[in-house]
Amino acid sequence: MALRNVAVVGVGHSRFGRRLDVNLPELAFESVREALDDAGLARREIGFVAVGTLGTWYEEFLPAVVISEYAGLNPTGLVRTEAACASGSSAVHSAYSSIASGQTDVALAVGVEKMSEVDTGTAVELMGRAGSYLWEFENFGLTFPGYYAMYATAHMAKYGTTEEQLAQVAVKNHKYGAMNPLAQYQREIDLRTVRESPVVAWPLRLYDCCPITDGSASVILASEKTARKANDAPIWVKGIGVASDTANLSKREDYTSIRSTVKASRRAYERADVEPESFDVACVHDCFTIAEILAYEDLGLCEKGEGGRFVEEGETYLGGTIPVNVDGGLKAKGHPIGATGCSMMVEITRQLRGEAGSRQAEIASGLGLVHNVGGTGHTCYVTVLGREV
Amino acid sequence: MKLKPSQLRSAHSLTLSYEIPIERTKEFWDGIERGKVLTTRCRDCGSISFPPQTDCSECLASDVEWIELSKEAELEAYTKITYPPESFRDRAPYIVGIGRLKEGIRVLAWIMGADVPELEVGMRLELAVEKTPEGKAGYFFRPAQKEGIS
Repeated sequence: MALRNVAVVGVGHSRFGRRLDVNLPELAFESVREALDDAGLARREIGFVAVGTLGTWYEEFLPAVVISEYAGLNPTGLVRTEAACASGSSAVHSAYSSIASGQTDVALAVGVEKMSEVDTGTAVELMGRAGSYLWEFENFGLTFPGYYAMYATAHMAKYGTTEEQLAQVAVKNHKYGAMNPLAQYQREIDLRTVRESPVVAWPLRLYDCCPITDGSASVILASEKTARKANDAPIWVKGIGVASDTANLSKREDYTSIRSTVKASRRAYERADVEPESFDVACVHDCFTIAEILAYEDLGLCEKGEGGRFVEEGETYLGGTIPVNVDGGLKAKGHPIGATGCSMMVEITRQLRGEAGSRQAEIASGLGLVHNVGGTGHTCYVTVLGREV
Repeated sequence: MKLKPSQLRSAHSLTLSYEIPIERTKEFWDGIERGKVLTTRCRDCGSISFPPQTDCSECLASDVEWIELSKEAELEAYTKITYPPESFRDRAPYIVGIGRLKEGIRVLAWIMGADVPELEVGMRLELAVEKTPEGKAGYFFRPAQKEGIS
């Protein structure tokens, strides 16, 4: 069966940060309402809603129904999707599939997380359990920074990547966070600030880590016929690649690469018929500074082992070979777990439309890349967006 | 000064504690008590699993035998956790490493008896079982004894 073409026709994005002023459905509503207005579509045209969220740190047990009721979306088709930190992308994938398969013409993906309703220690505890609870948490107390720190020590040993190169990622992403009014941290930092911040899990320091964030982002997708009617400049979903990997980090074969990123990206590139050199702009999963360096390499944006030098030489700044995370990334914009995949879709859509203001990348090929990793590489979703169908 | 927005503290708190079945991997947990690290090998395809599991994820057969793991490992990745999860607050800091054993499988465990300056990817480790100060037996790594002494 041939897949139907699908386009992004509406996007919405809440302010990210410590949002003590709103509860879960109120926070989701901010981006849902904006996406509907952006699409110029009536709620009744939406045939399917997917809500990507991890939960447990907020009080609601069935977040999708609470959000759907609050935003008056019933009686549409509704599902809550979970793929750890890629939950937002799993919602996009679910919404995309409902249209590509011909089941509906318009679908909404909502990504949302409200993480600040529990204390930081509890949030760290819940994230540390994301892997194999019995074999990696129960006796050894892994944390998420701890998991990525192991990638860092392996990458530093094999390729000579330095702590300073890790810090360069944070400096870049804070530079762009300072230019993004929706970001959690809208301030620039220097290398020294990163290098002198306390160690959280050696060699990762506080400023190597993304913060705990509340936020929501929404994406409305439509079939080609509806998209052309609704929107002057639909942004096409040219391909989505998905891959999974083991729960236990100890079952991976290599700690210098995220295997699910390699697999998912090649699947996405093949479906979209593009090369890794084709992109004008990218959002990659920088939950920790080492994660962005791994992403450059595993996505094929640079050679394996060259990720540290790639950022150090400015290749991922605006004006470089490929601007990456010029919205501040997870690092400075914030990482409301389930919202992140949708947030990346919003950013790349706005970049390809030419709506990114002072952070606008030069658009030549008209192709953008979204890379969203769940957990320690447990899942990966890679999406290719383009101005041409 | 910015006022904190109004919050309602939920009146109903929740404490979650799980009863995790370990009946199928009882040999492993009993082995640790006896000072040995055991795991499963599939009788059909021969693949060794760690963590142990009685259903083979390579060939899906459910016929395994228990074997004792070799103690020699090579360090592949490590970290020192200084900001622990809430429930590990009184244990931190601790060092976690992944060691690759001769059998080709990997084990994740704490590394005892060495701090960051002494650790290096590629160094030789020894897998050991010992009781914690609280009297609970557990498996962990320590730097391997020099050649000839062990």
